[in-house]
Amino acid sequence: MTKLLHYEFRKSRSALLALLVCTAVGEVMLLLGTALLPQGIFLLRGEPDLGGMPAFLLLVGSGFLSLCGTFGVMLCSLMPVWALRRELNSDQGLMLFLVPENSFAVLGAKVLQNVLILAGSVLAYGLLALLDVSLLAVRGIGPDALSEVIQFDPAGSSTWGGFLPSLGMVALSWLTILMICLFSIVLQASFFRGKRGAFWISLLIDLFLILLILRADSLSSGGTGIFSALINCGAVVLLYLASGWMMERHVSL
Amino acid sequence: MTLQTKEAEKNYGRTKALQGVTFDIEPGNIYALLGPNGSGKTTWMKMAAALVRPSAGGVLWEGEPVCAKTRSDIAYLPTEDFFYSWMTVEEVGKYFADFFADFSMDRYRALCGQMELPEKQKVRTLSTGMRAKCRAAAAMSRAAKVYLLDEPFNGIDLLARDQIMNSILETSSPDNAVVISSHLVEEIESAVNRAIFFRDGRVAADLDIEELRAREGKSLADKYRELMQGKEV
Repeated sequence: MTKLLHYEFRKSRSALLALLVCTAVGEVMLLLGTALLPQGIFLLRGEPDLGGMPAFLLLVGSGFLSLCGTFGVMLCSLMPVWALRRELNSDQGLMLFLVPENSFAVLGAKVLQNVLILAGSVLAYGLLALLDVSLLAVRGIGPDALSEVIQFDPAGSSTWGGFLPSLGMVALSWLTILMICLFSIVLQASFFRGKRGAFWISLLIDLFLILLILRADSLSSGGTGIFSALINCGAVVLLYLASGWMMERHVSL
Repeated sequence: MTLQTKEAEKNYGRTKALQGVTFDIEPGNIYALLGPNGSGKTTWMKMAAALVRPSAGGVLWEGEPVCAKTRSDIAYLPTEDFFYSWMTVEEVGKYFADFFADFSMDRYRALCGQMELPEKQKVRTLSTGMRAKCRAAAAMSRAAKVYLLDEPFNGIDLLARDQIMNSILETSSPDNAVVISSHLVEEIESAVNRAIFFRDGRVAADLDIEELRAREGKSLADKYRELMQGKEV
């Protein structure tokens, strides 16, 4: 499994490197913007004048980081899905299916890569956001503002401690959707292989599963609680087992 | 340690790729797997490598149906270019070394050297023939119990064919079996000692080549023409 995981990351290396470079560029711009900001600017009365360059750097930098933290991570976490589609529908699949690892391990490595990318991103971008907001607050207000940053209310949660689980829940929901995509790809390569309309049937099954999970989710209070997390975790496990079974028993290369 | 095929069948929709195929692969032999295009040779090899699931019957290794685990003992060389595009010749070796305990990096390097494969070059930039050599070098660097070589000489020049054939002969031992599928019947005749003929997804004959020569006075190519065209040679 470790070796499979290593090669899964190797396959996504270019995309992950691109994400890292874009994040670094955004972060450097944001830090420069923060550094160029007049000290204590937010303490002045009225609309603060951030100045042309700092405002530009802060705006572009934060925009860049927001895009990296959302669409960039989403694209990177889609890499194992694309890789599986390519592998089940081209000769490259032999690379993966010639090795003495069963389908559950092959699929498990892809799911684990997704989990690691999502968990790593939540942690990394969460910490980066905390760091950036802290620096901005210290620069624009003063060291005393740090305690307020800790009490910051970024998404209607009471504290950062409430924000991070919310972010984790978004990541878990995204993982469920990715698992549905993996399930759909395996379904197309197994039972619907070579059948007319396989893509559309799989898409309908996908939509049905998403609606089913959303419906179950809506039964929980607001869709952000433990119940919601359990539903998503259960869906991920069930879809993993079903996909692994189909790959093991019904996929021929 | 016998690779047994018992009443193996494979259907692709209405097409019957294999029908009631039964034969054994015993250690100490080099087999030629012969038959026209579409006769079921590749389907059987993929089935034995646990890449194709049988519709009925199946292939057994040490009495158990082949599965992902049996790929540790059974080396399969496909005809397709299957290496990841980002891999260099050296990385192909590392990949095999990572997954197969019986893979020898030293032997792989030696074979690459013999076949003039530049280790640092990306596989995707190699010519068709060079890629075929790379595939062959990777498969023959394993110390497997059964080697399934599907058209190993496809697109390869004469000298490289000799090199691959030499590596096959060097690898062959009383403890392992080699199965070579090829259209170059005359070329492999001197290397193999048994031949299995496929026609229309069935086994048309399973012969000892010495016996064929002694009893019928026929070469492998003669027997092939006889079986496939129905003409007595």
